[in-house]
Amino acid sequence: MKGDIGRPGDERLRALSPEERRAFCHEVMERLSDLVEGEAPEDFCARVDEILGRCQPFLAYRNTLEATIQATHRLGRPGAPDPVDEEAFTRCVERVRRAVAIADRDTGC
Amino acid sequence: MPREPISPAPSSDQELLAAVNARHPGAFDAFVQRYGRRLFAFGLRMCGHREDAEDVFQETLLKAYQGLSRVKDPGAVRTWLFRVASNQCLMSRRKAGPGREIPLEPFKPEGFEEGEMAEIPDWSRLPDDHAFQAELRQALEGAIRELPPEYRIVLLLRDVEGLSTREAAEALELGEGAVKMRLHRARLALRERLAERYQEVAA
Repeated sequence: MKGDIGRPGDERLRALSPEERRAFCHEVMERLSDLVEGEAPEDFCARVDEILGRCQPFLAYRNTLEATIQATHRLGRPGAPDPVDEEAFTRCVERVRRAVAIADRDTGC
Repeated sequence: MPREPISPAPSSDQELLAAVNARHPGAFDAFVQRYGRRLFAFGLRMCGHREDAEDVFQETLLKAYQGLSRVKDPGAVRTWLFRVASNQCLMSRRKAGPGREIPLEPFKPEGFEEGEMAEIPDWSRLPDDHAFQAELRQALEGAIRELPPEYRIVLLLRDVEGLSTREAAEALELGEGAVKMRLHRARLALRERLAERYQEVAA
């Protein structure tokens, strides 16, 4: 969502009735992941952009959610440092080999 | 299980699955090399203890050795493996930690519904250098560990291991709606933890 950063507390949000605001805010919070990932319906995106597109706090919240999601994705990418200790992994692979050998022996393979 | 690698090494999942099911020498070793690290990393992040992760790893791969012949679609192997690993992780409360609901309300920025939000520091604009990335990664790993197990497992499968919503739903025997809801709440919880850490720096 692009747009000039307006003052905190967007007047367009305040222009809604309290009931509309409550329902709109709840829906935005529920669907924020969809908004960030481009999976929200176009009409909803347009409405959010119209009402919150200039709201700094909302844009910061959205940006930091997006950054969180991207950082989490990076944890699993090839080449990313992983929590696996080489020695522990090698030991585990050996344990699996032994377990499989026993399983083969037991089934006559 | 012989240690000699099969030659030539199977290049596709289809070839590897066929070789494992045919009990070609070295095929299962190749299978462990292909999937093992991701499974081990998943177990570590899910269980939080190396010994428990090692148990999950061994049990999952032993079940794979015994049960892979039931997997007909090579494209489904990863989902199948993570289903087995997820079951292993969730079976013991000790391994996964106590469960609890993550409600949505606490994540609503203060003043949102009133249209009077205070300024929120945008830490996503901090310099994206190597040191920041390393620290962010460490903070994120810690925040993931604090998630309730039912949310942590969805986040790990979807956002770290890259399973689709449908694949994660299959692996966890949940509806896709439940997967989406838990993923979103988990992400909001992580965002909140990172915001607590970086809001002063970003302000």
